[in-house]
Amino acid sequence: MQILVNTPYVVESKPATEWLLGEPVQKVSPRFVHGVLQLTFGIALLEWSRGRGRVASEWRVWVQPPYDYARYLVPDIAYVSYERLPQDAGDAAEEPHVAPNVVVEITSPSDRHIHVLHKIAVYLQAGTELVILVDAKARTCTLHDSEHERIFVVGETIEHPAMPGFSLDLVKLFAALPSPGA
Amino acid sequence: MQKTVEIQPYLVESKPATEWLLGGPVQKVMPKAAHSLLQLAFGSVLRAWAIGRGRVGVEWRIWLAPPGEVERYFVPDVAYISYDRMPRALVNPRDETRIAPDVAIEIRSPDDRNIYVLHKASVYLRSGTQLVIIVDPTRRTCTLHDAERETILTVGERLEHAALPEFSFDVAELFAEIEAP
Repeated sequence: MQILVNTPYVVESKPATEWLLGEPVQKVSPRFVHGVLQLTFGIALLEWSRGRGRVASEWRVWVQPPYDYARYLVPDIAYVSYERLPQDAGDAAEEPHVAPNVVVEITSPSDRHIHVLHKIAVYLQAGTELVILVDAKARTCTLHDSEHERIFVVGETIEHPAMPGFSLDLVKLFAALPSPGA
Repeated sequence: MQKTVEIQPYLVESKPATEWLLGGPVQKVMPKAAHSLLQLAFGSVLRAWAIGRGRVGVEWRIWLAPPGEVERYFVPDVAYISYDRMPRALVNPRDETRIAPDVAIEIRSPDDRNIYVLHKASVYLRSGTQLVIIVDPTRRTCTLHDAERETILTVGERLEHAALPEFSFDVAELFAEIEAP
């Protein structure tokens, strides 16, 4: 059966635009808390990734769930292993047509939940092993893989088989934020 | 642009029911005691509230068609469909339902795959369902998904939502169903 959908077209914008639910949707303009969490998580992941793969922020990737069309998403942070995208991939790494191994999204209060759910589902269907949602307000990280959802709170340390040897203490992650209630 | 769906959803009659998830038929998990008790508890409270407003059913096969996607069927543990969406007419035993429920409730089983739970919530919301409630007996939480936000309710809170005007259900009272008497 064939279904007509809009062909995803690239929209160059700042903040970046993603293709969600059949249309272009611009990301929320990040503010301090978003920015500092993105950077903190990104640095931790970048350090861990040496010799294993690439980590980048605001990296446009094309993902394609089975029997669906390819569309682009722009994760806040993405890790793509050298198995998925070889070290000598050259220009193909600029805008890869491969699902990242790990995606980190810093959620904003104004994010529409229907978009967040859709993005997690699309990443996991396209082959992403782990999607991490960082919630600054609740001071939590929610880890989604195809089998489980697990919420980590302050006092816990994030670990997951998709990132062997990586760990991130949530106290450290949220250290730059104003203390709750302050 | 055209996209090709490999298989057109076809009906599978089974017990437990089968749903069409991510391009294929997936049979629901055989309910254990906790699932069964919570499903009936939630269903009966919702039905009492729904009198004069709409219909509440369990294990109700519903066909959903999100925009730009193939029509497929889910079988929510509990579904509420208002009279606004589903006319106050005779319900024939052979009728299939092709209306997104106002509210869909799923009781999580320990073996449920997260990718299916996320997919179902996403498809319901895109098809026009206002509220999806995931009841988790292990964590004693009710997670409310609507198009704008996700809200996790724990024991000590009350389940209330604009999609269920005047409905109020103590989360502790729900999970009392599976506590030691």
